[in-house]
Amino acid sequence: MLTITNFSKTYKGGKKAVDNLSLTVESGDILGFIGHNGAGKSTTIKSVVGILDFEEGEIKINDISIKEQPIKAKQMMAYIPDNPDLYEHLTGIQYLNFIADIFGVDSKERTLRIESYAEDFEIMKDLGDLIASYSHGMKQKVAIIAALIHRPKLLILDEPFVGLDPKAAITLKNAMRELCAQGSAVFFSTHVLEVAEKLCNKIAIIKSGHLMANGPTQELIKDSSLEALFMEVANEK
Amino acid sequence: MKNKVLLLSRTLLINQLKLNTFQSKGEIRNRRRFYLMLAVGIFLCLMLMVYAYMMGMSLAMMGITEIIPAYGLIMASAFILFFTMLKSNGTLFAFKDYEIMMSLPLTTRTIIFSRFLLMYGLNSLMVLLVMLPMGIAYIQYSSVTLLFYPIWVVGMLVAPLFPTTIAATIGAIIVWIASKFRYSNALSTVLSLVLLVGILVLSFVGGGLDESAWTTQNMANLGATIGDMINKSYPLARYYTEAVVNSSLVSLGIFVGTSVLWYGVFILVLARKYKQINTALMTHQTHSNYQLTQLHNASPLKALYKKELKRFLSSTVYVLNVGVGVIMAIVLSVAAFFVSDDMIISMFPMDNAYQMLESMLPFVVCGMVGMSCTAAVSLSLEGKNIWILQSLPIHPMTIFQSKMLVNLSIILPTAFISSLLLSIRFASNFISALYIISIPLIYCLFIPVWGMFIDINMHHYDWVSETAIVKQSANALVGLLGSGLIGLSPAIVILFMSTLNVEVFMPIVVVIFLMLTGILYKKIAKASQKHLV
Repeated sequence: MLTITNFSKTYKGGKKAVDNLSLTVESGDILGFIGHNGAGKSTTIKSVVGILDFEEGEIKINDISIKEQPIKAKQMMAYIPDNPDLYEHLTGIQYLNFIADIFGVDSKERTLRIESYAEDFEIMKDLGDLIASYSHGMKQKVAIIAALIHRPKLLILDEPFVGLDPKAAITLKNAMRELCAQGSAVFFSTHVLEVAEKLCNKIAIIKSGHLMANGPTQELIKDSSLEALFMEVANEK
Repeated sequence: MKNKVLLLSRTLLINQLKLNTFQSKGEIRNRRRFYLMLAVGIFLCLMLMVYAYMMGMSLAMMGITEIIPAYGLIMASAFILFFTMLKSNGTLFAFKDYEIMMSLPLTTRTIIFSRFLLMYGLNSLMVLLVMLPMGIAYIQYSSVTLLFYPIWVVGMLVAPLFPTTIAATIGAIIVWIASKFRYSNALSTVLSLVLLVGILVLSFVGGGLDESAWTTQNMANLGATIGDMINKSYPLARYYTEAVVNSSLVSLGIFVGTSVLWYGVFILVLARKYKQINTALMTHQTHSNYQLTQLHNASPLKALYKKELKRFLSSTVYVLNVGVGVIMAIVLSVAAFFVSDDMIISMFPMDNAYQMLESMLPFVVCGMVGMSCTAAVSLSLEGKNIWILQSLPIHPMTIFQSKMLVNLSIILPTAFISSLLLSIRFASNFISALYIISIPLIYCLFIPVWGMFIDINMHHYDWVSETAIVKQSANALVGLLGSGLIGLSPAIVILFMSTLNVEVFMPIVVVIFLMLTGILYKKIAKASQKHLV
């Protein structure tokens, strides 16, 4: 579903944020992307979703290059950033309808999906209010519903659990599992190692722009824990 | 407190002008933008100074030199009133870092002082640009004593206080009233628009001289007439005139004392209500009673268009600053019905004044409507939301088209109404009416394309207050003023080339407008191929 090959990204001023990273996310995978602050997680994610341009390497979504055919590639995925800055002058429902229009979701389908997800995330009654009046968590919920509205083949999330209440976090995890059960894939970054260990069937650890570990969760942690593995990688020179 | 005010003001200045970004060696794009803005700023300042000097010189040549001080003061005050009123919301109220500021161990007065100091600083520059050249003209055409110089300098320092506080008070009243209602932003926009139109109408109707003043017999009394008019509309100007013309220190004392006292009262009163106003402005009423009904789908272009139009209408700063051109066009065309032909002829001392005006009118409308170039800032206004458009499967050209269409929707109807009214009032034949109506409509195609082209090349998403984009950015200056000046430039050609064959000139201008539109549209299409907005 997602293939990253020899991807490197250098910022202005010469700082190499990501160096020769290769990674594959298969259909049905939930891959947790772990690393400390400034390790290169967000740079990789933003390049995958087409926000950042890059010169080295190749990123393909379902065999479609994000560089060569960005519109076609973006049509298959959805992205939720770590800080969902949404259009504050729109109401929640207007924003969701806008996203559904962009992805060409049928009116009947979108109504049903919004109803279902909004009930699950307990935000239905607030959808008529301006996004400007929402709390961080409420904005996060609207961003999640907007991402799920077109049933993406690849769901990409940057720190999705920050700001969510416990029930909403559980609902999101269930939605991620449900999506993967239908043949989609999920690729998300997180600092919460317990969540990654329980939720992800695959783990990738990045440090200073280099991929340090990558593979099925159980194979990587063996009899230990993700926390121990992460500390081992973090202390490696 | 003094140190804290200065500390806050310095931080505010660094943040607003992005001085740290400019210091960064890697930010070549920022440097280019800074230099471009500096060049445009210097050019505009020079233009204003030349205009003020020529105005002072004209008054002196008309034999009414004693009017210069009051005229300069009222001109500078009018500029301040107009520009400060439009930006008090966002600078003094409901600014982005309000919550951080209020959580610090600072008094409300310190915060207000620091925000006010920034407005005062910028307005002082405005005063300097107007009053310095007018002072030079005054010195040239009258015999001044040594006392004139300190009085004039004190006048320039004090002059911004009164209009800045008046403008901020009006701004505060508007946001205060608006904050009581659910749609506070919309109401604030409507109230500000009403006020803006009111000021424009008053300046056209009440501020203008009576027709009889223009007759030769009354020219001798013109000084007294204008003086009376100024004193009535701005009483402080009388004391300033007396201070300058008669070297009266008592009058200077009254002028300075009134201004400073008014400023002190303003700060004290505002400090008491400041938290209340900001809380009301920065919180939104919620109903939490939404019930889902059947949703309807639209094409991506239509969805983007609707989103863009809502963005425009939701921001008072955006509507007022960018919409001022279309408002001026409508007010002018309505006011034209209240001005007699004789007065127009007396204002243009040429043989063919009426015909000349008839030919210039379409370009006057173009110039005014050109100031409403929303496309010049709409991309930059995406700000932190840009990730949405960047990550969605939308071709950049569709995004650009939606922004240009919104611009067109704002200017096309107003240009049509304005030019239709002007054609009814002034057109002497069918061809003239056709030109007055059709040229602004054709120019309406150019405005959004020009604005989009500018914003694609000069956009930046990293801003704190939308005022910084709408009013102070390089793309706003080049986009809005550029389209205004390009539209107006044929009128200037007509004015200065009396032998010009208008029948040949008009079609040539139309062709040039269309060609420029086509070329820039192609460039936008080419830029959209880069895939990233």
